[in-house]
Amino acid sequence: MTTTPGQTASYGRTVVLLHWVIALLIAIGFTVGVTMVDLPLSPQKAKVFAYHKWIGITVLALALVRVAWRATHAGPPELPMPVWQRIAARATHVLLYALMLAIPLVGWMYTSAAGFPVVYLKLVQLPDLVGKDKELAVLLKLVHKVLAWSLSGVIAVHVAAALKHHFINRDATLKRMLAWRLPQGNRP
Amino acid sequence: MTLRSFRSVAGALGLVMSLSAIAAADRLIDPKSTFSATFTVEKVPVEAPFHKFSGHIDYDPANPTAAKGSLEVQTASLDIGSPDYNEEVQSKKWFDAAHFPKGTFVSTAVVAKGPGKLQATGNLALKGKTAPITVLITVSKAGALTQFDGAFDISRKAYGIDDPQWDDVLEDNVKVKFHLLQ
Repeated sequence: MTTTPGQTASYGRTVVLLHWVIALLIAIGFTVGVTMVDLPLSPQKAKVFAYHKWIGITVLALALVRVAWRATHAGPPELPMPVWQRIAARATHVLLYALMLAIPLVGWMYTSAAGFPVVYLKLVQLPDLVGKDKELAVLLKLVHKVLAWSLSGVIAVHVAAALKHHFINRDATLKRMLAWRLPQGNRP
Repeated sequence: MTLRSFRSVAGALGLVMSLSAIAAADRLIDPKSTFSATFTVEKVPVEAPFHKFSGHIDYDPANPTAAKGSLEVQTASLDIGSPDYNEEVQSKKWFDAAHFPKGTFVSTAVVAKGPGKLQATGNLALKGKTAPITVLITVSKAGALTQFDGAFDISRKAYGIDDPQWDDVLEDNVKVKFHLLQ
């Protein structure tokens, strides 16, 4: 397959940076989340829960920036691929966006319902999204958990597809999200 | 009658009986009253209610400064929101609920502080230590009942409620809030 300059055009530094920072934060936030729930009660546990919440709020904020950026900036031209792959990629991306917004939001609602407000970076107390409600907290905790595990599955598909494009199709799909110096392919 | 409906009827009867027992007691505060402690972990204020407390208030609107009140709170009834925290807070370094099951407040003097406001001084006894506290109380009508609202800060360490390994994340100051109906 030959690549034209348009096809190797990068998403642009803002998108590339947002993508990888969010990816890293999701990986850390998920790992912390899965391990922290089984920690025995200790001051460290209280700290780790706080860190998990700060990571989640940061992901939510960055995801909102990303959605806003995407709505106002065109990406590089799409690479040629079969229709089913294009549809699958779209669906995966929609799910990724929906989950990276919904998971921190539901987590925030859960901690509000449980009666533990979020004080972001120990600096700003965020408003409670719902009132204290034990039964609702149990439900929201479950939803938060199910959505987070779902996201890990969607990410697995997303990563597998990127690696398949890179190593099997040998196209520029992954490079466009890694490239820092490639020309930006913003459409006029 | 199914077992389930028998249980709910029995439960309802039990509730009615306990409610009438409370109503029969002289000048006891209403069960809708609330009493809570707000402590701060990693700058996060966590308000935890005490589910069991009782008390009485003698209050005559015509002679407010003659008011008297006392309150008894079951330390083991503090509900932080999860079983492991609730168990931890009963342990020796915190409430030591096995030896000190109750915290009490008994007023010693009441001063009028403008319309609907009283300043009460009294003794707060907790975990074997007694110290005077002063609290501003707002008095208002709620239907047939009178409501007394107020809050005061205490140093938990002054009462020996302290596990130094938590010093890094847990603040010494605890805000106690009450909303009492009678």
